[in-house]
Amino acid sequence: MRILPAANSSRPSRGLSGSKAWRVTSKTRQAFTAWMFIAPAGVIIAIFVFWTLFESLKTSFTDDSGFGSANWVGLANYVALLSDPRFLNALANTLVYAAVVVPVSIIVALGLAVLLNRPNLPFRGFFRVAVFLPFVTSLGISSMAWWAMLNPHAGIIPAWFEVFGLSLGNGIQDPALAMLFVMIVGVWRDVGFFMVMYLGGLQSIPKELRESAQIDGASPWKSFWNITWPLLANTTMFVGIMALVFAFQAFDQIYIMTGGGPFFRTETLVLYIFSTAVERYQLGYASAISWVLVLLVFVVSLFQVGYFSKRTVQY
Amino acid sequence: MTAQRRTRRWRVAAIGLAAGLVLPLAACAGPAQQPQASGPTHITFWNWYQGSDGPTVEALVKKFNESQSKVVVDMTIMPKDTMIQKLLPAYASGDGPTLIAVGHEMTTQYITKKVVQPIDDFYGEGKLDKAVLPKATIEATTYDGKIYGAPMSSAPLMLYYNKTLFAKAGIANPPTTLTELAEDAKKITVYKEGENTTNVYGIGQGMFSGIHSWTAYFRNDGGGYVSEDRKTSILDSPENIKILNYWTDLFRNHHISPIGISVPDAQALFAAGRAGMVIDGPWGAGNYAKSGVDFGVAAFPKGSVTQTTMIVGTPILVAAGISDAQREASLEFLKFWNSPESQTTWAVKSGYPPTRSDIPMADLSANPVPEMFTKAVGAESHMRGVVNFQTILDDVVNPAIQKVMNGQGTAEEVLPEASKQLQALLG
Repeated sequence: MRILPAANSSRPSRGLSGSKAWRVTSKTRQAFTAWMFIAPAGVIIAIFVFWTLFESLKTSFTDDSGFGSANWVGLANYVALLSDPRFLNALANTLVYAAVVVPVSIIVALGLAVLLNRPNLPFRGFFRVAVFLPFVTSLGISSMAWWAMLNPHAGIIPAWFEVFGLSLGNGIQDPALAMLFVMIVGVWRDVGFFMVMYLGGLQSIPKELRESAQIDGASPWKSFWNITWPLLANTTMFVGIMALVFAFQAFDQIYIMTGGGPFFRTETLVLYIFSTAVERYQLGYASAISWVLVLLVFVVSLFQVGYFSKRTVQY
Repeated sequence: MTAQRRTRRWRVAAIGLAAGLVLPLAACAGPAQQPQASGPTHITFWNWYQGSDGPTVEALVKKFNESQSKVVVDMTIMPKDTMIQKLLPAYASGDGPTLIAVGHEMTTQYITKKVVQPIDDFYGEGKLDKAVLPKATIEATTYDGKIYGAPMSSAPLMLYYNKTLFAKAGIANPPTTLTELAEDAKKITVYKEGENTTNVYGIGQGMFSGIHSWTAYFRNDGGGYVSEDRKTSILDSPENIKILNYWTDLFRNHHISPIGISVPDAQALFAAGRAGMVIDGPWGAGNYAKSGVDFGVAAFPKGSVTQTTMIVGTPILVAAGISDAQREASLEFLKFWNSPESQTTWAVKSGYPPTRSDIPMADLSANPVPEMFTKAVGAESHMRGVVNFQTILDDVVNPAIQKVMNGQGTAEEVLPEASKQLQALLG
């Protein structure tokens, strides 16, 4: 007959080996040590991310102007957004910007990655650096250069076009074209980063799969569409989410090149938040707009994760 | 695990936690509070004199600091946009500057937010002399019967004209009326569709990002933005609609100016010899001379109703809540800045007219520009007393004018809607 230990016995029973008790206590200790090392970063994130998010959410329910007391107004800021033509215009501009820049960036980045993944391409390293360089350059500074180059009356790019009898019209000052130019700068800036992501993805695909397809007589396009593209689903999901976040945060080049003009034609949500908070000191209202943007990015990202998760293929 | 190893792990974890907490918090800590030692009183001064006038401002402040040992002015010059964005948050956090130089029309905003204080006692015998200082500055900084500002600079917008382009177009003299301005602009314009980088325009008229000169176009022909009591928008008045339609026709159909350019772009076009005229202040003269433009300066043309021009001034305001010593120090600096000697230096080196009217023109003969800018007619601060002046311009007036000029609506359609938005901002 074996005497089994009582369920809640505090003494380690004879039935438990000494080494198992040691492992349980040791694991707890290791976990605690790990938490201690994470704690400093956790505290900083808690203060500068979670606390500021919480404060921003709280502010969005007030009429805070940075001066005097901030009074609770409930959902008034959010309700006001629904009938604010400038908010609706900024939202529309942001969605249009994202709808164009995201797919274009992904397609261009993937194309460049496929091209620059060829082992025998001359100056491959140079081209990779050249494409990636805009991403690590200050967008504010490069936007000033773009603004000067695209100036319709003195810019070098319109001048070059005019030599060939082509006209860029009023360029960044033209309400019909201004958004196109800020989109071009947005794509130019981000495509290098996405290309690097895709290069990593391409290099993780086993060569044998493509070689087998080649032996079986598949064309390069069929090989790409049926093997490479599905195996890049994870990378595309990541790139897609990042591209969307970047697009929804578009600010720098728009602020510098057009200031949101002409007459708000290029004003995005982030620019409107900036104008409302920093120029008009309506902190409560600006916080409400910010939270609408957060929810928008969250919902769209969830959709993207769901879409791409179902399309992951493994051979 | 031995007890020794356990103790070592705990020590490492504790040190890591302590370092991780202390280092970032130390970085967040503000500058150490120095005990107030006896010595000169320090006052901080923010302004946006970044252009060719900046070195003159710096030299004068340095001269003030070196000329006495009781006051030290710590000046920071920054871009206008940056300063406007930083000011109220700085005051809200208790870290605002002692003195600020801001545009006339912005003073009401800072007065109503109570971040600056009245300085009526700065005027009087042995202090600042109202009789010789610009009336426009004192009026623009008077609120509820109290004066809040002292002059730093004050200059009207005038009409710069390119003598070479005028001669080429066969025009002998600069325009004296707005109708003449339109006709002269048409004669000077050499426009070819699709050749924006080589066209020559009659006038470079900026629409945003700088001093707003459109008020004078409207006022001189009987229009305007707000009523005299600053309580009602008059943006959609029949006069304004007529005026805006008139200039839109000239811009769109006669191409006398590019549409939708910024004020700096307009100045650049004039400096490049590609615009026959530009509305600007004395700060532009140095740049135009350096660019080799043979220019003249004339009064802003008269309209069918009156002749005015916008006066661009940057009064100095004094922060609320400063110590008595800093208040005294501020007065000393303002007296120095507005002294005959300082104003002579300021005018000769910068081209601004002096803030004092009792400086003989002969003393300014080394620079002809200040005298040119004393010949303005009807100089006034058009939007003084309007609290949300800059927001009204940026968010309502400029976009409305641009919309009509870009053919995105007629003045009859756009101005009434803009007027409602302006009214909402007037409160």
